[in-house]
Amino acid sequence: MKGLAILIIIVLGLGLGLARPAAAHDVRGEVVFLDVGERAVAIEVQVPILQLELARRAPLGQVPAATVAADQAALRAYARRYVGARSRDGREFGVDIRGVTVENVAGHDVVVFRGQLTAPEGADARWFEVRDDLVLNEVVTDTAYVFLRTDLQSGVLGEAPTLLDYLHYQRRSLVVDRSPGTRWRGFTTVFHLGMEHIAEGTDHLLFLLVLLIPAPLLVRGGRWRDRRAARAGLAATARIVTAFTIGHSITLVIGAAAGPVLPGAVVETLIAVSILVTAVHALRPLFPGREALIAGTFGLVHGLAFAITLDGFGVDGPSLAIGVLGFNLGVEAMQLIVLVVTIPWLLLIARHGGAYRRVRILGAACAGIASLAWIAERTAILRTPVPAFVERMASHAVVLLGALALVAMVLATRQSSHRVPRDRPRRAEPSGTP
Amino acid sequence: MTSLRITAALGLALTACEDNPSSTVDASSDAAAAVVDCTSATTQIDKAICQASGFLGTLSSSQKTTANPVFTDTVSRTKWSNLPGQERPGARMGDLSATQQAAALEMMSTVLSSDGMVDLNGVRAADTYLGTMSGGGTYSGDNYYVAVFGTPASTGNWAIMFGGHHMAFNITFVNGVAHPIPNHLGVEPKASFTVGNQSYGPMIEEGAAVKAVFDSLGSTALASAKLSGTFSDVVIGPKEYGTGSSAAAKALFPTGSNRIGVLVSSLTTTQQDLVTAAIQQWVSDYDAETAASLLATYTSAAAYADTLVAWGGTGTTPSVDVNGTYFRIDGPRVWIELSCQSGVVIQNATHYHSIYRDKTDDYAGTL
Repeated sequence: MKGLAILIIIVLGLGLGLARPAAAHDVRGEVVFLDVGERAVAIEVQVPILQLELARRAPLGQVPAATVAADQAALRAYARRYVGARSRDGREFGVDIRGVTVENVAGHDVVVFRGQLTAPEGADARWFEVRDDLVLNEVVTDTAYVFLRTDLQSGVLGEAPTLLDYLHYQRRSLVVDRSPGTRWRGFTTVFHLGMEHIAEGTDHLLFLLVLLIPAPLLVRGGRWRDRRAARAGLAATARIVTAFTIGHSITLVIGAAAGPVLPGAVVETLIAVSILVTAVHALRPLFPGREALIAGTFGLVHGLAFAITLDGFGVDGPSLAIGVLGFNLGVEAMQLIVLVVTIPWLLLIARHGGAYRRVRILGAACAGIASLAWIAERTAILRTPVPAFVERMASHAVVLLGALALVAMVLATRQSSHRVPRDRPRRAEPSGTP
Repeated sequence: MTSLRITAALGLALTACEDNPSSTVDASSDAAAAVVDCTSATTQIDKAICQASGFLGTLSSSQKTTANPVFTDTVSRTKWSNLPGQERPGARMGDLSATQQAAALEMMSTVLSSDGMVDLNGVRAADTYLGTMSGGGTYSGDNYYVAVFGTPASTGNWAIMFGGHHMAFNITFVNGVAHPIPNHLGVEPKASFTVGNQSYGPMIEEGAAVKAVFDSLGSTALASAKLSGTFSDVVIGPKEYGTGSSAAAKALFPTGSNRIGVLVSSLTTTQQDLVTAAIQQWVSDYDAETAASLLATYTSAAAYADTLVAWGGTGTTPSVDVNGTYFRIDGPRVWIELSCQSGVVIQNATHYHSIYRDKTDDYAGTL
């Protein structure tokens, strides 16, 4: 294994050795990304390998990634000298260089410096003069293009970085003025993001809806047979939703603050598994009486997915707080809307045992198939047309809702002799009350 | 030669469909016959207008859409570069028929001098040469683009762009006067090379002329003419690429105490003549009138009292064969840079990048 690794390194090294002179012709500039918070600015500088070699007068060798890894301390110290910012009253920001790596950006290998610039006491990061002398300290012909990537308080969420200006040998610093931004603007921006995220989060909504299908029901003889009192059904629904909310809020905060806990692909697969489990439970009770617990536990998984969306917003404390709070409230708001327009129909239909049984089985079966298809796709086992079909169905959610409402109203107006009487003598079976 | 005659004959057949009475092709003679007949034009500007219109006349209407953008397309007018494979306005020479290519080159040989055509042909040949050395790719003398912006006329504004890898000729005409800046020329290899039984060396003289200036300076002068820092290219290359404005380039001209070097007016007459000869290497690429006028402006006593020569690189004396060596002529208007960098395809020799700009007259001040 080690021999193979060495062979690969040699081959790559030769390949890089042949490829790099072409890079020597294409003397591109640096690219600087700024993520602006309230008290701090995250800075990311991508430096073409050749430019860094010229600036430091030190080659990075045939395998730059290895050299950079070995020289971490020296490179961080180098960056601390040449990257910085000044507040409006001329005081220096604190500089914390967090890492130096070699990455491939748009087909070119660059050295990426990542750091945090923190405003001095009494100043904030809404107005600062940033400088990047990583290459310009030595190489006269260099250019550094400075982009604004994220600024929550101005509603800039990082999808389309905008070029602010560029640095060159006669202009080594740049004033960045984000003072028009406000916390409220930041809050409303992420609030909308949260609402959108859940509205488009077919898998999140499917999990919740399928989990709520058995809420109006009671277990008897190991099967869903009886109907709960309307109030008890509502109460069960409320407990399940609350537990799910608590669960996803916890991991949303942790994930946003600490960074990705699990790889995105794993999280997505687990979410699909959560839907499968709830779908099976809706067919045959797997965990009767413990729906809230299951909702809370799986909520933890769903929260990790939300946290991934917020990656990059938590530049500093205030930004993280606004980001997490706003996003979560947006999620809850949209979640509430979805439930308010869906659950009443389900509860109405639940009065008609036979009809509800069909709705339950149909809903669970569809969710089950969707979840299996998602699992297969997200683990790269098998691609099917099912996920695309599900997304298309979801985009016609209003139609599906209308159908559900229609069924509920038709049933309500019919004198149904299939209604299961509410008061049945209790048996020794465990009740459905969580 | 036979294939050329056949193509020329085909060209005639095609152009016969064009409504262009001034296009003639004599299929029975060899390729020396003119495609566009401008013998009736007497002044330089009339010849340029005639040739440019004649070239456009050889094109189909769809070709003309690409090759004849409006003068106000400022973004395209800044799309010149030293790099191969960049997006450039105009028709690609390789996509034009032999007649159309001949017409384009006739146009260029009217606005450029014979020295200028040596440079143009030489840099194109160098790309073909690099193509053979590197197994093809984007290197080819066919990957050069010709464009005429606006309507050639003796009043008003129009422009010619001809360029590709290591070449950018940008000539802006304002009320009949040619303004040939900014201009980029580069070449790899910088030594002579052979393509198709012909020998080329397009920038040998440029390099020698600049080298001669600095060879004439004593060690004290060389020391005071040295710029600090590392030069990995020219400073003011195509920094305005695609921006539609010359602002990005203008911001890079050094001013005041940032202008370092040896004052030309403090040099001996012999040394000043060497500076003039160096400037001439770039300025004389253009028609005689334009070149003479510019040269007079750049080399007047007043100009030389504010013109500096400087160099950058390693050591105490500059060598064109050392990677990172850099030369500059920095006048009140003239700006010429020559940088020597490691080869890309031919790796054991340096190659040249050069820039010739005019601090107040790039793009005739229209951008």
